[in-house]
Order: sequence, then C-alpha cells, then structure tokens
Amino acid sequence: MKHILLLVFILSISTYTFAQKTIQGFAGESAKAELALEDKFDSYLKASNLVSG
Amino acid sequence: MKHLTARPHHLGSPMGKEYAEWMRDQFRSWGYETEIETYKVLFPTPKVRVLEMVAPTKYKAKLVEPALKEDATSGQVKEQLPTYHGFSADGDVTGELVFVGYGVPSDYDELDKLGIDVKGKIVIAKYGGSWRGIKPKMAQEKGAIGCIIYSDPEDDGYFQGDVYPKGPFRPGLGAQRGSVLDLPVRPGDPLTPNIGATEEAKRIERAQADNLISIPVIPIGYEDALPLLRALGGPVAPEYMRGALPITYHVGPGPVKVHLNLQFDWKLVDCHNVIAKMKGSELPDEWVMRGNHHDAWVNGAADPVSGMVALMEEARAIAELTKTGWKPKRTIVFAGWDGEEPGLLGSTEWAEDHAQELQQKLVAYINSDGNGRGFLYAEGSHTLQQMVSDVARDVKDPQTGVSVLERRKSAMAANATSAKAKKEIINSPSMTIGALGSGSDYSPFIQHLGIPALNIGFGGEDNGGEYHSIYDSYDLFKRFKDPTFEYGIALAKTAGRITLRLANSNVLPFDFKGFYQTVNGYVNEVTSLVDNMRESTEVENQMIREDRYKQASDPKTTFIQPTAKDPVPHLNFSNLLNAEANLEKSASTYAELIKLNPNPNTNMDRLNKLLYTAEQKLTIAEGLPRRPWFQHSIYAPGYYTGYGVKTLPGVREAIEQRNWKEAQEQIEILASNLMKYSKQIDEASAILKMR
Repeated sequence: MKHILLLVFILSISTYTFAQKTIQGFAGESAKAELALEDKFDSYLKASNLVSG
Repeated sequence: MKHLTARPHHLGSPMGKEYAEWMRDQFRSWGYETEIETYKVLFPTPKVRVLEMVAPTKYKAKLVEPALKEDATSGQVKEQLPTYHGFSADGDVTGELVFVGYGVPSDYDELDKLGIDVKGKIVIAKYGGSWRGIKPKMAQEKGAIGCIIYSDPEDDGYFQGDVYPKGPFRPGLGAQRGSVLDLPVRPGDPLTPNIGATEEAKRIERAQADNLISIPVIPIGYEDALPLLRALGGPVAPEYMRGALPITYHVGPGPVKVHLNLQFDWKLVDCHNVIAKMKGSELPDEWVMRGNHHDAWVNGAADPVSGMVALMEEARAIAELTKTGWKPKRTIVFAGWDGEEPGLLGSTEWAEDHAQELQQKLVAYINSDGNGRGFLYAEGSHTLQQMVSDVARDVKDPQTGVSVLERRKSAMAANATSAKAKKEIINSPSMTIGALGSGSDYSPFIQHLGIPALNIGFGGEDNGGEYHSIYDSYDLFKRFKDPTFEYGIALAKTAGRITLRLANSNVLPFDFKGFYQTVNGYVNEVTSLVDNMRESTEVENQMIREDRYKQASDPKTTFIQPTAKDPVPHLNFSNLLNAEANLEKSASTYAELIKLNPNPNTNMDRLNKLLYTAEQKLTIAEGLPRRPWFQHSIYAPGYYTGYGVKTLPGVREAIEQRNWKEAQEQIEILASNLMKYSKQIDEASAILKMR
C-alpha cells in the first residue's frame, strides 16, 4: 500500500510537471504537439550517419 | 565525416566542388529544393614562400608539416594548401627581427617603455591573445615591414599536453593556417564590397580594397621559430610575454636578421554555396535558416565537417518528419557555405546578393562551425536567449544524462570566482548567452543586415592543436574530439529543436525583456568605463608629473617615460539612459501582454513580422565609424580584437580610443536606435491589445 501511494504521488508530480511545461511561442495543446514532434525528430537522429557522411 | 574528410577541400579546389555537389544531391534525395549558388571571389594561394635567418647565423625555415604514418590523410601533399596566411600581401623583405609577444596594442605599449621601435623591422608574434589578423594589422600600423606568427608551445603545443600522434596537441612543425583579411573592417570578397560577387559584378581594384593588409605575413611552427628566437638579442622580454620554449626570451631588435619572401597568385575562384529549402506550409515567406561552412583549410574534420555532418543529419531527420504528414509552418533553409576560411566569403557574398529578400523574410539564422565533446556554448541575439535556454533544458548531455543546460550551468558555476556568482548561476533557471563578435558565417546576417542570429556548438573537453593544420583529420577526430559522435547528435538535437521551434511557433519566441537586461548591463559597463578612465588618467598623470615611474625603474636599464594623457571629460548619457528606460517599459508591456494572450488570432503575420524585423532597427545605415559594412549598434567584432566582440561598439571603442567627440555622437545614435526599437515593440504590443 505504501508503495502504491508513493507511485501515485510520483505519477501526479510528473503529470503536473508535464502539464506545466511551457515553451515560448506555443500555447496549450500546440506546446505539447511541438514537444512530441521534437522528440520524434530526436529519435530519427543516428550517430552512424555522422560517421559515414 | 569519413567521406567529407577523405581529401583536402579548400575553396577553389576540385574536391570542394565535388563535396558541394555531393551535399546538394543528398539534400535533394531528402526532398529539399536545392541549388548550388556560385560566386567568383578573390582567393590568393602561394607561389613563393621563403623564410630564412641571414644573420647572425643561417637557418632556412622548413615551412612543411610532416606526414605521419598514424594519420592516413596527412600525406596528401599534392592536394594540400601549404602553410600560409590567406590575404597576406606580396613582399620580399629583409630586416632585423623584434619579438612582440602576442603583438596586440598593449604589447607595443610595453615595447615603447623599453624604447623599442619596430619601424622598418620584421616582427615575430605568438599566436593567441587576439585573432591572428590583428597581429599584422598592428605591425603594419607601427611601421613594420613583415610579420611572422608562430604557435608557442605554452599555448599550443607540448606545454598543453602530449603532441600528435601520441596526444592531440600541436607538434613542432604544425602551423596554423588562417586568414588575415581585415575582418573587423569587412568580411567577404575584397573586390565586391556590399554586393554579391557574381560573375558580372563590378569589381574594384585590389589596391582600393579596404580589408587587405599591406605587409607579408606567414605562420610557422615552434620548431621553425626556435632558432630565430634563440638568437635574438636586446632586452629580456617582460615576463608576461614569454612562452614555453627552452630559451631566455629576448625582444631584439637583432642581431637576428631575417629574409621573408612571399608571392601569391591573386586569382578569382568559384565559391560554391549549397542552399536547400523546405517550403513552409502556412508562412512560406518567413524563413528560418541553419548554416555551417563546408570548405576547410585542409581535410577539416573538426573545422568544419563535425558541424556540417550534424547539420545534414538535422536536415535528414526533418525530412523524415514530413513523411508522417507534418510540414513546417515557415520555410526552413539549410546552407553549406564555401569560402568561410579565407574570410566568410561564401556567406557574405550570398547575404549581400540577397540582402533585400533576407531583410524581408529571414526570421533568424542559426550557425555552427564545428563541434566536439564537452559543454554547450551559445552566442547571439539576446532576444533568443530564453528560447536557447528552453531548448537546452530539453536536450540531454550524452555523458552525464543531465540536461545540457544543467551541465553548462555546473561548468560555469565550478569556474566562477566568487560564491555569489556560483549561487546566481546555480539558482538561475536559465543560462546566459554570449554576444557575437566575428569569425564565422553569422556575421553578415546579424552585423550587416540586422537579422537575429545564433552561433552554437559543444566543446571544452576536446582540446587539441590540430586547428587549421593537416592533422585536423578523421583519424585525430575519432581518437580525441568526439569519438562516439554523441556530441554531434547533441548538436543536431539542439540546433534542430531551435530550428523547429522557430519554424513552427505561432508567435515567434523573441524575449525583449532578456534583451533589455543585457543591454542595461552593457550601458552600465560603458558609463563605468568612462569614470574609471577618468580616475586612472588623473592618477597616471600624477605619477608621470612626479617622476614616480622613473624613480621605480632600474637605473641600469632603458626606461622611456610614458606621456601624460588629456583629462577625460564628462559625457552626456542622458538620452541613452532615457532610451533604456523606454526599452524596459516596452519590453515589460509586451511580456505581460503575450503572457495574457499567448495565442492571438488577429494580425499574426503583422505581429510576427514586427518581432523578427525589430533587430533591424538597431542598425546604423552609415555603419560604424571607419567600417561602414558593420551596421549593428549593439554587437560588432572589436577593431583591435578581431573575433572578440565589442558590445555597443560605436560608443565603447570611441571611449577606448579617447575620441570624446565621436563617443558623444555614437551615444546619440545608439539612443535613437533603441527608441526606434522600442517603438516597434510597442506596435507589436498594440496588436496583442486588439483581442
């Protein structure tokens, strides 16, 4: 039970943090979409391409 | 990187063209509209290089960097440019040698005290202390007939660490090539000031060019410098001037006499810029531009290819995003510049050629110029400081797992000299960015056209001595600079996110409050500078009047009494302080309004255009005194520092040069520009009020 409460607390903190994350030039949903797009961009980057280029 | 560093590829070389075409094809294969825009630029390469000591003994400088079996590309001698300085003058001169330390203005002040004059002499200066071009510029102003610049091992060689190939530091005959074009006066093709160097452009005569020096200058390694410095006589050099060679450093002049003969071909060559565009889906006439140069002095793994390959990976990943149906709102432009090394030739000619269109369309320019292991650095327009900080918060440092923002803050705090400074850095949620001087391709955008710009990269744990030598190779990079290429990816993430945010934002992320705070700091600096100069002038003049320096000097050595200086008047800063107060109010009002209304629905085009063209209000149409090409009233390279920035350059340099009339004029110009800038922010605020 103690562990579940701790998990709920951690999740609520992280949800709160995510909800609060703002970026200049974007409001509300568009900020979330932009951050998701940037995460996807990051996932496409490959160090091996830098070596061979 | 393996491909782009396989062969030497300086401006005008066959491989430079081949690599530009290869990059063009890559961008095209990813879906970018890509062209090579070619200009005809002046690029002298050597026909004759002779440096020899003719007295008291003979020594002929080798002027050759030896190939190493541990470095696969170091033996490509036929394709390598020899060790030389781009835009040195032709000259065949013989004269006594004088050692001038770093060869910056303060060194000549010290030599004056020793009674040493360099008129008619050849000077030898250490690399460091300023941008290299300042050394022949100072020598020329002081009447010298030739200039030698060497890498002292204290700054760039065995004193720093093991030399290549055992370690990454500069070996004895390693010499730093580089341009001595007078960049603080004007970068770009010397023959086509202010216009693009197209085939049909009207060219001035070489003698009319304002950015060419008139004395011959050559770089050498410390192995070639040692015989010359060892044989020098005259007084022992002041302690601060000495280096790490196994000799007692003397300043001369003589008994060493040297013969320097340099002759160049002064030809026009093709300069190939690669320009790749992805059209914006909603705002195609608003552009975000990301650039890095592709030309190198030799193979150029660190400078510039490490930055160029990161840029290309960003472009490829953005193209991948479009396969998911996403398109950038604004047009994204990628540039691979040619001719950066000899003097920002490709970027300057392109920016001059497209000036009007860029001032209309370009939201911001993001530059890099190489990359390595270490900490994020960023310099640029302070309206973009907060956005850079936000992005740095979202990118992880590959080695530690903390954000690149926190890692940079930690490094800054660890190096801060006071507890107060450490506390401020640690407790700040963001980071500060530096101001831009010169030395890379951002210069024409921000300093000539007034377009917001950034210069970013990683470094600090990648030290070495390969810079502008044949040893800046893939082999060295892989061993010592960024072995896993993780920092190349960190650069791609940082620059890519900045590009994406600028390209996609509803309201462009410009922060005028941060800009105000920075300018306020600069204004405080220049007002204090005048007060400090007044006090020090009074004390110095008293010291001279009362013979204090003479009494303190060794009667058995030469001592030249410094001359008294005119007293420092009180300058009138009131208009500047009022303009600053106005800026604070305008910036605060805009910040409050955009917080209340972050997603306005009306007049968005107008609002964004006001935001990204605001920086143009900081430009001066007639330019800075004695260098009209430089038009920004907040940021410029120092006239006597080169790469190093001088903020509020018109005002600050006039004060430093004790030109009080000009200082007052420049204060008024700056105040007027800040008022115009504030007015434009007020216009943006007025749109936000229309809900």
